[in-house]
Amino acid sequence: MAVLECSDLRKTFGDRDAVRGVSFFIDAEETYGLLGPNGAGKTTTISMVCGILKRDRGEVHINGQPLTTRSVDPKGMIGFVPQDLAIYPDLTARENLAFFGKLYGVRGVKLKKRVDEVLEIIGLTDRANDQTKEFSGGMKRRLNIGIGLLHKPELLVLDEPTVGVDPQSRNAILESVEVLSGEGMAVLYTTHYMEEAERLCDRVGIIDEGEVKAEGTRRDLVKMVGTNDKVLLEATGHLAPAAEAVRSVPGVVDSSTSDGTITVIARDAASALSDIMAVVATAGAAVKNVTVDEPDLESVFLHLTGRALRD
Amino acid sequence: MNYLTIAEKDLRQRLRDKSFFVLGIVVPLALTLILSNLIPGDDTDFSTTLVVVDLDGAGTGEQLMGALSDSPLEVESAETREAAVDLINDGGANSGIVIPAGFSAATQSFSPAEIEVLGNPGAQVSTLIAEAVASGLASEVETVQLAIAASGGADPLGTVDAVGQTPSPITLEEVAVGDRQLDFVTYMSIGMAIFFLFFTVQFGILSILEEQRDGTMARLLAAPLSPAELLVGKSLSSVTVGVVSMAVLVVGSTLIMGADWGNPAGVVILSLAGIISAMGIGALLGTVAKTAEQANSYAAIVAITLGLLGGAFFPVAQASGALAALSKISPHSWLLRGFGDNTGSGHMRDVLIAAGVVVLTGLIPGAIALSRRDRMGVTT
Repeated sequence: MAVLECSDLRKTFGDRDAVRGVSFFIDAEETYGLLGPNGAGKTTTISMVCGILKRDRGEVHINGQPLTTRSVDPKGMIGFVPQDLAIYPDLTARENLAFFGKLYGVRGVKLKKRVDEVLEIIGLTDRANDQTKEFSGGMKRRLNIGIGLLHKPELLVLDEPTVGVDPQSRNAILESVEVLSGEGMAVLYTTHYMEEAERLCDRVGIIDEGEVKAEGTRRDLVKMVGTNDKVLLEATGHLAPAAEAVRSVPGVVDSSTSDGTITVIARDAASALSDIMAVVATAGAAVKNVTVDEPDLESVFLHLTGRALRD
Repeated sequence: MNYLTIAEKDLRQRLRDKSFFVLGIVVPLALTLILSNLIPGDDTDFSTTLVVVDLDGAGTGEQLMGALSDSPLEVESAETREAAVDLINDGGANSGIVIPAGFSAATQSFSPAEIEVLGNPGAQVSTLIAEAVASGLASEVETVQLAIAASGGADPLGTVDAVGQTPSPITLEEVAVGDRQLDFVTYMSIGMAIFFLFFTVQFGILSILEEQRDGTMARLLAAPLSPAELLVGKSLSSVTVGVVSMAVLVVGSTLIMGADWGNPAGVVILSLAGIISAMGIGALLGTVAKTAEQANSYAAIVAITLGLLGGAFFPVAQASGALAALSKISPHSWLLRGFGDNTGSGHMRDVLIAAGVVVLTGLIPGAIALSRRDRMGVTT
């Protein structure tokens, strides 16, 4: 049984359809990414998944239990990390964790122990008794995530947790998510950073304009735009004969020249690259720089929507 | 039990940001203390001393002093006008009356005669009283003159004696204080307490909007608790803040300033009614405002308007006309009336009526707010 199963989620704000029939599922121990640009409908979808926002249509089930905004038990299985900081600045880190822990039914000795564990995980043990208004942005972000982990949820929902975070803290957050998914937690992760989705997610749903345009593993998605790699050779000398000659290399599909660059399309650039370089040299061209472009989720998004992720 | 967790968290925040101490205790107590010392209240015993100078020597002065001996006025005598002026300037008297030499003879011969009133610009009320006394004396003289004239001049001394037996037109008596009248310190203590009660309690209920602003509302809505638990938790913290604030102010003003709050049961009932009113009105404002800042501004404006209109600072209800009628829409007005009944007549029925009206001023906007709770981000 899927930990999260949602089908045909729809939400309209005034005249604008924010979410239009979004469906996906997440199995236990799986990390699922919703990848899309700002305004694609990621946060609205997550708000409906977590029971924060009333949906116009559709179903959400957590471990088979239907979830609505009034649900209590299914919500207890979810750990929610909102995009914006959701901590009390005039409470200490320990008090913030303890408060939300109590709301999720963790109490007494178990609560104290779990608070200490989470403080350790997010690296705030030595600042546990400081009010969070004194924290740096990165520390607040870590606490924001820690609160979502405290009750050991079966499904952890993270809404763009690295937005506005410095590179060091960002890396720490990504490592934490990797550790958590490795411990058996199902994770729903939204982002508009292609690298994060590729690094963390077992499956990715590409969302734009309120619709999931495509979903699957990275390999599945890349296949949609073809499996060929692109090799760009900046060179001088006889470029046209070199481009002609390189077509004889096994695995090379096509080649062309333009503005001092030979573009080679190959099925597997890594294995064909040495042969390509040798043929080009023999043909009288001197290579100054080599770039290999493998298809990625950015290419997939571009292929599906005609726009870049950051547009 | 999640509502207790929410209430505990809210109270911890309120205690930590000091607003509860400032708005709920320190400012109301300090203002009561200052205002009750700055403004002489109606509990101050009014007394005035009238100095009488009898230059006539024919008994008119003695008669006047005798007539005034039973009045609340204190009466002194002076030998000369200058002595009377000195006495007034020294503060030994507040005003005076000079009966000139030949006054009695002049009145008996129907000649013009003047009574001089000595006034003090700093004691206008006392001067007015002296003028009234002089006017009364002149009227009495006119009565005697008319009686003599009417008798055709026969037995003028007998006529004077007969007129002397009639009651003096000068009557001064203390008027009993009404049952609902609060002494000034108590009035200010109650006024300030309920005025600031609306601030402290409303700000508590409006913390729902602060949760929205700070992003924590989303987390609360994602947590396994019902919207009812959230609202009850928020309300519980407001009630606790209100009860503690009122309790401290009642005890503090009683011990420090000697305020008389009356029957403790009435104090509890009226305080809870005030808290319910503040919560209901605050909740409605929360559904009207778009941001926490806007809601807090609205709450302050409404609390000040209702407080002034209801007589928290000045007894507006005792005014006449539209203002007095308008003051009845303010819960503060009914609370003051209730506390007046609680300290005066002591009839619990009157207290309960006032408390009932105050509760209605909270329940009606509260019910409207509940129907519009989505506007405060509490989705269901």
